[in-house]
Amino acid sequence: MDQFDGKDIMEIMQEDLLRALKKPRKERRWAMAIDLKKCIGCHACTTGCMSENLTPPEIHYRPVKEEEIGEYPNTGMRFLPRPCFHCDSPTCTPVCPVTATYKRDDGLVVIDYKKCIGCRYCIVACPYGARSADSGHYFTGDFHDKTYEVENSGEYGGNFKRKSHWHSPIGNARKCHFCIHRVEKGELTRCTTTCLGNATFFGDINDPKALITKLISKPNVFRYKEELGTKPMVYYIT
Amino acid sequence: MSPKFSRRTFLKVSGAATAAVTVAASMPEKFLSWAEESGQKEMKQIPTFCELCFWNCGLIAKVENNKVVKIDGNPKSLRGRGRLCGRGNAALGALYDPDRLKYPMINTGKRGEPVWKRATWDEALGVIAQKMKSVSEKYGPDSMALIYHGTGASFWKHLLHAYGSTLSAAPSFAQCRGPRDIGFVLTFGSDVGSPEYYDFSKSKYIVLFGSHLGENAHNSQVQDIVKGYSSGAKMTVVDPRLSNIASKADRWLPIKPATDLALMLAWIRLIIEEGLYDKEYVAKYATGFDELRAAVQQYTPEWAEAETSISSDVIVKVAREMGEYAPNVCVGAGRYSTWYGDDTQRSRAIAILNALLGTWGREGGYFFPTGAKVPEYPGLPAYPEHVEAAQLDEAYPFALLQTTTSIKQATITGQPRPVKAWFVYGSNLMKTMPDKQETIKAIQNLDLMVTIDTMPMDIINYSDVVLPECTYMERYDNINVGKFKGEAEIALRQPTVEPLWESKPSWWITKELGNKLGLAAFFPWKDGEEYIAKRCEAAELDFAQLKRDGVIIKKGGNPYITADSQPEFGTPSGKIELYSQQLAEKGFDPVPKYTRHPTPPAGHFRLLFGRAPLHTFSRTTNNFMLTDLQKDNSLWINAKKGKELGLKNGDYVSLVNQNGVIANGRIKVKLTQRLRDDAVYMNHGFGVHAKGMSRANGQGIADDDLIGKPAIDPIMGGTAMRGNFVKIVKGA
Amino acid sequence: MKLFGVLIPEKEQLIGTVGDVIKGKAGLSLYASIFGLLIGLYAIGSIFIRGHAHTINTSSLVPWGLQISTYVYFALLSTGCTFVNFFGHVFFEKQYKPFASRIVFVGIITAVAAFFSLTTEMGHLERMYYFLLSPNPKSPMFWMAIWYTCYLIIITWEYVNIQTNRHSNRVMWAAFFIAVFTHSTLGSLLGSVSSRVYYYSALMPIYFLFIAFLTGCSLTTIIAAMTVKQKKLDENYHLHPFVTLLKVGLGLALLITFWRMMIGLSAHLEGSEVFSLTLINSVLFGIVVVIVIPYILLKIGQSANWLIFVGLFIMGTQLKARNDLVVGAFKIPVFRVYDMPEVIHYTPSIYENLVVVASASLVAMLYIVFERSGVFEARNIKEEH
Ligand SMILES: Nc1nc2c(c(=O)[nH]1)N[C@H]1C(S)=C(S)[C@@H](COP(=O)(O)OP(=O)(O)OC[C@H]3O[C@@H](n4cnc5c(=O)[nH]c(N)nc54)[C@H](O)[C@@H]3O)O[C@H]1N2
Ligand SMILES: Nc1nc2c(c(=O)[nH]1)N[C@H]1C(S)=C(S)[C@@H](COP(=O)(O)OP(=O)(O)OC[C@H]3O[C@@H](n4cnc5c(=O)[nH]c(N)nc54)[C@H](O)[C@@H]3O)O[C@H]1N2
Ligand code: SF4
Ligand code: SF4
Ligand code: SF4
Ligand code: SF4
Ligand code: SF4
Ligand SMILES: [Mo]
Repeated sequence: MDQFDGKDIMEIMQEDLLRALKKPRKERRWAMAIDLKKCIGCHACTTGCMSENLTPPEIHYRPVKEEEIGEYPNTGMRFLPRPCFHCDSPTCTPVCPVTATYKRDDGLVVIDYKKCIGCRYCIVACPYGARSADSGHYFTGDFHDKTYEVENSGEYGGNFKRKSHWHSPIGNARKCHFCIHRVEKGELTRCTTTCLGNATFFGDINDPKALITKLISKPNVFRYKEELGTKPMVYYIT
Repeated sequence: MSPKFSRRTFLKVSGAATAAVTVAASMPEKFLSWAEESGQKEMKQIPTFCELCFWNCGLIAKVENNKVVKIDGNPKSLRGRGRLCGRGNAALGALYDPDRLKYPMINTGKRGEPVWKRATWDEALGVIAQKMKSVSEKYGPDSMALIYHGTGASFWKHLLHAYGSTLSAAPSFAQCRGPRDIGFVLTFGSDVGSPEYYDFSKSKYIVLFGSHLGENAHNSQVQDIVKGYSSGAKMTVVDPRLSNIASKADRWLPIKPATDLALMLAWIRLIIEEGLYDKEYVAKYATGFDELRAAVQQYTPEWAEAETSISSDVIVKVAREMGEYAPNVCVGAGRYSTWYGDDTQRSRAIAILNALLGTWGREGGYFFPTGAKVPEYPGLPAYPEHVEAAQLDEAYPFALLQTTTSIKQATITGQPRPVKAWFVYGSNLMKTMPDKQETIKAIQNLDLMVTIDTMPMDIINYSDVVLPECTYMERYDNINVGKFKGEAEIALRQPTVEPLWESKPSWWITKELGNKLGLAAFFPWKDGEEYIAKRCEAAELDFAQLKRDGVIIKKGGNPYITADSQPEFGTPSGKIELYSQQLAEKGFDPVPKYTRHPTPPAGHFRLLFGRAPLHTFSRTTNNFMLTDLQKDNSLWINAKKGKELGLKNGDYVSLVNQNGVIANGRIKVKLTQRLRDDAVYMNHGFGVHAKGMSRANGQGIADDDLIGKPAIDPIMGGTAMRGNFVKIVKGA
Repeated sequence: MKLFGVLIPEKEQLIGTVGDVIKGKAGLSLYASIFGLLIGLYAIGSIFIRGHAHTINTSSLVPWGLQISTYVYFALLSTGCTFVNFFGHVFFEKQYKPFASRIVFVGIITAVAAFFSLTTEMGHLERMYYFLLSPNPKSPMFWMAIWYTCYLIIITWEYVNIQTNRHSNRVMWAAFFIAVFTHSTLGSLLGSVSSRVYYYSALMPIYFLFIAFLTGCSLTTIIAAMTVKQKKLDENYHLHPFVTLLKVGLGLALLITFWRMMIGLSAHLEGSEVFSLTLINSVLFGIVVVIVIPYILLKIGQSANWLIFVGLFIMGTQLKARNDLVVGAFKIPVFRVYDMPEVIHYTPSIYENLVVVASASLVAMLYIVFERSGVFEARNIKEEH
């Protein structure tokens, strides 16, 4: 399905987004839905996110897990992309000793790159492995100052250049932030716009008219490890 | 959906055109205390197109401080529609790879055991020009061959043509699409294109043989097929392995490898005998129906079950489903098709299935594409008069394009005429061609071997001179025209940043070399930009618009058969040739016939291979963004079988083929439920053995190491790459 | 309050000791510990100057490594010292007295050494002030920091009291309880992590206390045995309490280790396979080597020399056990993708190992210097007003 009620879903989501941005922030609730039927396991979202957020080696905000189901010849596959779930009841924020990571009033779970002391407690505490430690690796070794690796990713709308290990986000915890730097400029998240399966949906679930709200109100929706009580804001459609 | 509409929308969506974002008024309150100092400047946005594979999707580079900092898909591109695949998003890993070729190099040692001397461009091109002159004097200019893959090759073709040689071949013919294209040309009189003319997004029923879309990440095609099946198209995927797309299918038919033709013939017979074919369509557009019918009588479902291991029940059901949904059915022609040596005939069978179901020119089947013409650079001198001494591909009557196969043979044997110089542009021949020993033998016979590449790949070690091309992010290339449904795309590649080190674009290299060869008149352009600007002018295209948007779209005609848009078939009969007189005349089967291929001897597995979603052959094996996710390949083995052999996930093994050739290196085992137990599977491209490739060198095993002397498709010269059997050697 | 002679050695004594060091007459162990401290400091310097990427083998998959387990280890040693001091005073007053100042002193320096190691694992140590500016009362780590500070103050107080011969039971009790709080908070820091089955357990705070007791006993036994030898005290009489405490410690450790393992094994949560995965290791190292063998060793002999050996044995094996505990939680990745191995292996880098050396050497060096400088000799010092 590329269309919903005869309208292109990208356009619907775009309109939903602009509408949400007109509301005061605390009335918004960003959420994502990923249609597992449409997800074809192309991993475009993974590298799209890497290039959007200039993440260093071994830090992937949105990996895609590949799970085999059943036994040959009755085999099935599930591709499960995993951004940060921006849990409504996150296990990562309560443990942060300095409240560097917290849930904003729009539900977004953010990391204050200037406060984080790099204790990594939140990384240990997230049950989904959604957080990473940026210990300061570069892909391009000695050549890094000549490449994009020390330029500003614009994450959280800030100005962070990974120039040395004294410069955040090196030394910090990092994770998917729902591309808030794009979203608040009126652009959908990068994983949504690059998804080859058109399987990733984004929007404000406080808006009853939003596409995402309609999608997640169906019975064919689940959240990952829901039993943990974390109440993820990422819904999987089956 | 109206594609025009969605593209415009996309513009906003991906932020490609910031002007379109009208939310400034609603910009939210700053959300973090420190965000005020926000350093997010609007970066310069330069559109160009991707070359990490040959789909050539439009991308937009975001540039700051003369560095590409980010990229995005170009919403206007028909190949990507604003999206980039897993590889395409890793452009910066190609551009900023510290291992790139940095300056011209001359080999002062032997081919295969190189000793490199750094050279200036002048020196390197001087050496080449001198050698070219002497080769040309001794053997004629036609003894110089270009073997190429990629957009920049057109400048090299032009150079060699200007110098008198027309000998050029891409492995993407005889090692890839050739059999499919020829099979369709023989049947419909035209091929299925690239990007293919599959109308997946409108299909009601899709059948695929191999074609592992999702892993084969051809951008818009993947989008289309997902759109198709998620809008309700039923899907049957025939593959010994549960490919990504097979896992989305209603039916997965884990066929015994090398028996697809049996299944197709059974389906043809069923569709005919059960009257499921489009009678009107066949009567109107096809010829040879009766001969076809007579020829397939022996291929009963029961017989096919014995050959393919697919139950006859399922075979019958799928045939009926195809009939039920016809003509909105697409039986995919595949793309990579040099499998078992009878591949043109297999592709013919696919073509025939489509013809019977009436899918050619029908919604959900194959659409008629819209093309565009961009005239050559105006006012170039005529190429020198060219009399070819002898056809290299004489043995393969339907090799409509030059094959690498014959060039290699002629290089070794000097027959039917000598080939003494190779220019290898953007093709890692050591891995791309089957039978490595022969390739090396051919290269050792050369008087001149030049490689134009971006990376110190395996192939450079066999070269006399290595010329570092700058990457696709740093150069102008030739204009790229793509044919699509109802639209054509004219795409521009332009530099987004200055070339790093001393690397240069092909338009520059060929111009300089041309000057040295006395061909200055063939290179009148000042630079790449002027070259394209002039071509645009000749085509009445707005160059400024092209630079700004990256692509220009031309509207075209009707994609489907209607009363006033009738198909034309470029076959001798002007009809769809179910029975091929052409083939019969050359002594081939006019209707595909099944012959059984050898099966693996005891203790052996058939070696299958395919694509990794995050890599393109060997070209991305050193891309740091991609190696960060997948640095090597693994050997897929049916889990039960693997356990019987005492293998565990992650064990390292080596492989030896039917000829006793042991693959270089080792590979880790992946036990899987996704594969039959008579074959093993791996991703092609790994097992690079080139010291300069710090991330790729020695990672995984190369399927190409294990491909011995291949069977050759007698119709068009394609090399059968999947006829190899391997044994697992534990404890590597 | 008097500084020299109470908190740190008398000036002359200290100058004398330094002189000995310069003259080469300071004894092998002091040189060894100075050397250890120097290369350890070099490693710590490297970690701060060159950054984690080039020095440390932890990652997103194994966010906590040897430095955290060293921190835990030394913190537990410190608590143990406080416990022994408490039980010593309460139950074995006379036998224990000669060791009191030494043990509390070691309690302080191990706590400092623990912190030493911890700092090297922080991504941004320079931002620690946010503990004050932006506290999170929900975070066990925040509370640990608070308690840890209180703990350091109170045991220093206790130490001063002992040194000035004004031992106060009230301070001693307070030290005991604050130690219990501090280190059960440390236990809860791990125990409350519901996403890591290997940590997640209400037993964890108690586990930490029991283990603290055991490791503390072993360290204090060594100190006592050395003191007994040096001062030629009655071995049997003075060391008996330590043997008793050690046995109790081993018993408690066995109990808690066993149940933690059993409960873990019966868990059916994602990641609980770590318990079966590490079963052999847990039984072998966590119980047999760490608990049973020391118990047998204690049965074999109880001479001062032998007890030093047993003490060292327990301390060494406990260091491994602590590392196994901290790192064990990361063996099974919570979300396995791409080339992630099924079981994560982590080997500390040379720098990480040197941080352990630094911490241990710091403790050893300070102790030896203080000991040589006669700080621990019982004196009658009255506070000057
Ligand atoms: N990510 C990525 N995408 C790519 C490329 C890349 O390098 N990387 N390369 C591009 C290029 S140039 C090409 S040509 C295409 C190739 O991609 P395709 O045209 O899709 O290649 P196939 O060989 O059809 O597909 C491979 C599948 O064929 C199955 N197979 C093997 N043997 C048999 C058999 O006997 N019968 C049947 N039915 N199936 C079999 C394998 O199990 C595997 O799943 O991919 C393109 N797309
Ligand atoms: N064993 C085996 N053989 C195969 C296949 C297989 O699956 N298995 N697949 C076949 C298929 S489908 C195809 S299409 C062919 C593909 O064959 P090739 O196109 O030869 O494949 P690659 O290994 O990617 O080699 C690409 C080369 O181009 C270089 N390159 C990349 N970008 C540029 C550039 O911008 N300029 C220049 N000058 N060079 C550049 C790379 O560094 C690399 O050396 O291989 C065929 N051969
Ligand atoms: S997924 Fe993990 S990191 Fe993200 S909000 Fe939930 S607990 Fe926190
Ligand atoms: S790593 Fe940073 S964000 Fe995470 S808990 Fe520690 S201080 Fe908070
Ligand atoms: S929302 Fe943005 S940060 Fe999060 S996974 Fe998608 S692309 Fe990455
Ligand atoms: S890009 Fe979309 S289809 Fe591809 S893996 Fe990610 S979610 Fe799935
Ligand atoms: S399909 Fe992917 S790799 Fe190929 S051109 Fe498009 S984006 Fe680039
Ligand atoms: Mo290909």
